[in-house]
Amino acid sequence: MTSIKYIVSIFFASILFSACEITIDYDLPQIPDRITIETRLTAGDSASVIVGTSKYALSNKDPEFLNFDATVWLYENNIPVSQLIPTPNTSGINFSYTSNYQLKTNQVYKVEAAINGYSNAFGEGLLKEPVPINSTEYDSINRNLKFTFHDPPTAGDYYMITLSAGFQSNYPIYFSTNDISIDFFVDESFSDPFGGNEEDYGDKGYFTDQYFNGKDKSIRITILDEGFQFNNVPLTIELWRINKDLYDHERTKAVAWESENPFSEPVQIYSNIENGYGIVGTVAVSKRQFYP
Amino acid sequence: MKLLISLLLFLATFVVGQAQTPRVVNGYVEDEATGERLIGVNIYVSGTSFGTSTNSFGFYSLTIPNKSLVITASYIGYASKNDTLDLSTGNQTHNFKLSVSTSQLNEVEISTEESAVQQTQMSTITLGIPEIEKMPAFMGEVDIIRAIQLLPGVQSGTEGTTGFYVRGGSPDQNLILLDGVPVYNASHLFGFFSVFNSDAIKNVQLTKGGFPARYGGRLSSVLDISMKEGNMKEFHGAGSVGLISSRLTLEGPLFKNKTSFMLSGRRTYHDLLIRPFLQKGVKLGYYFGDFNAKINHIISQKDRLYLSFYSGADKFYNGSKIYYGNKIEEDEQYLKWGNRTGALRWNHLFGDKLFANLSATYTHYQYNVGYEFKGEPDFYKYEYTSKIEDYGAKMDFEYSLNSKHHIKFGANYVYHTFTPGGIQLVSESDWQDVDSLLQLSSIINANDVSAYVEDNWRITQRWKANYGLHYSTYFVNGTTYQSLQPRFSTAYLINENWALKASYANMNQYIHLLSNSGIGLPTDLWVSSTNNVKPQQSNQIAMGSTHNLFENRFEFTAEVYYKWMDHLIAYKPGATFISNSDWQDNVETGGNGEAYGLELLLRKQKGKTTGWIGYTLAWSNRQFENLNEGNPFPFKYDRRHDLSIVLNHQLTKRIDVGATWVYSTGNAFTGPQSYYTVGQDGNTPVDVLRYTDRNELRIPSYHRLDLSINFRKKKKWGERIWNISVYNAYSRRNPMFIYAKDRYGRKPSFQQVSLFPIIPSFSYIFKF
Repeated sequence: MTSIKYIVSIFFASILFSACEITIDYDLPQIPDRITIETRLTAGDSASVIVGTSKYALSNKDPEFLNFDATVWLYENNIPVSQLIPTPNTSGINFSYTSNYQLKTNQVYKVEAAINGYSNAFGEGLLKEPVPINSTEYDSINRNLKFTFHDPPTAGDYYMITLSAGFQSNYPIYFSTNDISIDFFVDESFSDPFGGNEEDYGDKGYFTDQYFNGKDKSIRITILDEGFQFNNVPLTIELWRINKDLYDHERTKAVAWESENPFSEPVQIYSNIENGYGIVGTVAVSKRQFYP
Repeated sequence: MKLLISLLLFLATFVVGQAQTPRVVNGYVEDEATGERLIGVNIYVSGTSFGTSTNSFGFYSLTIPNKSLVITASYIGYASKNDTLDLSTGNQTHNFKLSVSTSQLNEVEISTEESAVQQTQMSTITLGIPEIEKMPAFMGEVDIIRAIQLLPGVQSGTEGTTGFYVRGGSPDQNLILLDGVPVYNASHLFGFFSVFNSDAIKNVQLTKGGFPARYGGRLSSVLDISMKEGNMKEFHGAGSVGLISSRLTLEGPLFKNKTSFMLSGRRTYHDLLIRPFLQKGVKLGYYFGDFNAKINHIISQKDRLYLSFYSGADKFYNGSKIYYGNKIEEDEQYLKWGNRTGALRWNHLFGDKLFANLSATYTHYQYNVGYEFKGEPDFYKYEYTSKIEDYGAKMDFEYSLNSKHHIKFGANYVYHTFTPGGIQLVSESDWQDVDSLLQLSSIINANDVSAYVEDNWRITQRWKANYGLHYSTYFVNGTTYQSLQPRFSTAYLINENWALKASYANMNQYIHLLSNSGIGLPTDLWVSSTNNVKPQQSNQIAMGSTHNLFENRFEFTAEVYYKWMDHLIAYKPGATFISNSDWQDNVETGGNGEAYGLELLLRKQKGKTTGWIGYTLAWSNRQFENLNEGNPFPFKYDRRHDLSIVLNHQLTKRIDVGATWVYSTGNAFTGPQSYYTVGQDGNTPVDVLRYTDRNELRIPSYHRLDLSINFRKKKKWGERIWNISVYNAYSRRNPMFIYAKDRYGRKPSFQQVSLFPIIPSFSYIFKF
């Protein structure tokens, strides 16, 4: 695939060979700069929220990834439960707004941010219960892991799977699968077309319950990290139940970064922030540790 | 089906009930010098409202009162001919032979009967090849599609390209017929030239709305192109040598007045010209070529056979050829595409009243993107292929029932094979031998069956109507789609110079073109309706007025239309034609669209100065559940204003000049609105763009002036013409697209990419 895209890119470039390019004054309608909010609210954890600001596309200034002049509140079922405050990371630099309030499942959480000179922005999501992994089977010869879970009867469940190594689950592991329901979003695949069995791979696989709503689901993945010493180090398979907004955000973000055709429509990254941009995602994880 | 049969019976009963047949006159109209049959010739009874025009085979049939009458045949560019017929003895076959007018510059020669005022059909424009050849040519290449783009209701795509958009429709909604056979990709060189070699073409007719029932399969337009048949009497030829290509056409009798042939070829020579300048071992080039052929055989007075063929190809390649002693290693990357069409048609006249045409058709479009390596002993090949192939059979009948009803009916069958994406892998070496074909999307076979009936009804002396039904059914993967499409158009003559017209057409389309470029790239993908992807549908109503002005020197047409479309499809955001998954996973379905507008055309076809002024005021929107957050958005080629002025003036018998000026509102585009930063889960923060609503912005407006001059001179062997053309005479930097340049280190800006500055060209044309 990559080589074909490369060939086509050459042809597109050839079309533009004789083109000339000039700078023009374009009257781009200016909209006010907005607050950006980015968070994944995790069941059982405290909230950690990044607040920034956007900039007009023709501005000389950079957008702010981190803005610590904001007032940030966490709402649970529309009731304010905690004000989040700027919190330094391990390097002592402010990194995000946090609070000690522990997030619970089956609640609707809203994050609202206010900065002087900007319209208040907010986003919300329902934090669902995690879906437990019922069993795991590991084939150490082929490094295949099969795990099963039971999808709740509610339609429209969205999932992400990750695999990590280490006692702290702190080393992300790449894996591949030929399960057609799983999408890695970021387009990575085995590049040798002569090798056959072209499979996508990545460290985050996304899927929905569209084809197995309310049923048992088995997923088989192949662990890829060749250089990692698995002996005596546990691996953890993590099944994240995420909200649809986060699923759409991650999908469109990946597509936007991968979009290569200069003639194609630009891809809008999905946002669920009112009066702003970014994402309030909700996630609930279940984990199973195993030794390869 | 029962419903269709019932309706046909009802129609037949109704029509028969009205029968009052006095006499039938039928026959063919042909060029006296060449024997070439003429399409669209007006045949009328002088002093009455009885009239018709020849069909695409030059045949006419007219039912008129039982008495002695003067029948006239008139055609633009030819001297009209009046013949007196005595019909008291019975039906008659009467063929007309028209000769090219020696006084065609005489403006008062226009007669009201031949004007569009008298025709029931609206939203239809016919262009003659002589008219097109006088227009300024881009790089010396006379192009039919470029001429079509200058008509009201037709919009060009991106700068310089030959894609066209009719009344807010997309390019796949245009049915392009070459001798009755669909052509799936009408573009050469990424859309800068069309595949139609004007030397091989006889006639071009565009229908934008009010579609008669005989047409089906597309929503927005029918571009009906007829190839020349070949001279029945003498051997002749024509050709040209231009900056980028040369062409040659030969025609003549195989058996005089019995069988004729026409052969026409065209090829570019960019690849040949640059070859001496390339470094040793470098392979780089591009070419396109066309070949048209036609044989026309008169079996008898009532039977005629046509065999026509077209093949065209483009290839763009680069690579290397390296010598290692006695060994050679070659590699090449390439993109190639092309159409092939063929048609075998048999005309037969049953009795005096029933004209029949039976056709067998074939069309094929394919593109390949690939890489090839040849060494010793290794050979690798990696090729992505997409193609569509149709085999078809068609029957068309025309029956002149009486002086009030002229009926057309027929049926069509097409077997489609869609191969939307396959990869061939070949590897031959000492250690492995692989030759496999991987289908990324499944091959789809479909059966497309349709039938139609329509009646041209002369209700009163002033009021005419054309009404009919088009029925189609489509079998694909165990799913059957059916559609019964009513068509209606009517014209009322206020007086002999002014007619009011109205029409309604329901259309259905079973095939779709997936395109994320909109510029007619060869990689656009033709796909079938399936279980998941429903056929496109449209309804269009139009009303208008046609008026002859200034003693019939000018024809003025005004039309308003409203079209609504359902079940449109589009690529999902970011999806491209090459994908690991089936194309159906990459499309948004269930889209709706609407288009409406006003079209004005002031046209002058005779006299020293000819041409037209066309203006379009239009809106075109789309709506998909998963695009633009479900909100309606402007179609990419939604343009508020389009204006074109086309003029040709005969300075002397030897010199004519032409000028074309076009103006249009800029295309819609989705632009950046804001920057913001995303990044979590350990990712490095990255600035991303927040875009406007889809197609909310407009690129700057487009305008361009083209000029041309032709110097003609008669020679002993024929005629030579020097054509000098200037494209974009005042070198306007028209935008192809614009984008926001990165904002780091300097003030951010919008950059406009333009393709063509002023481009002068010349070509040498000869005819013998």
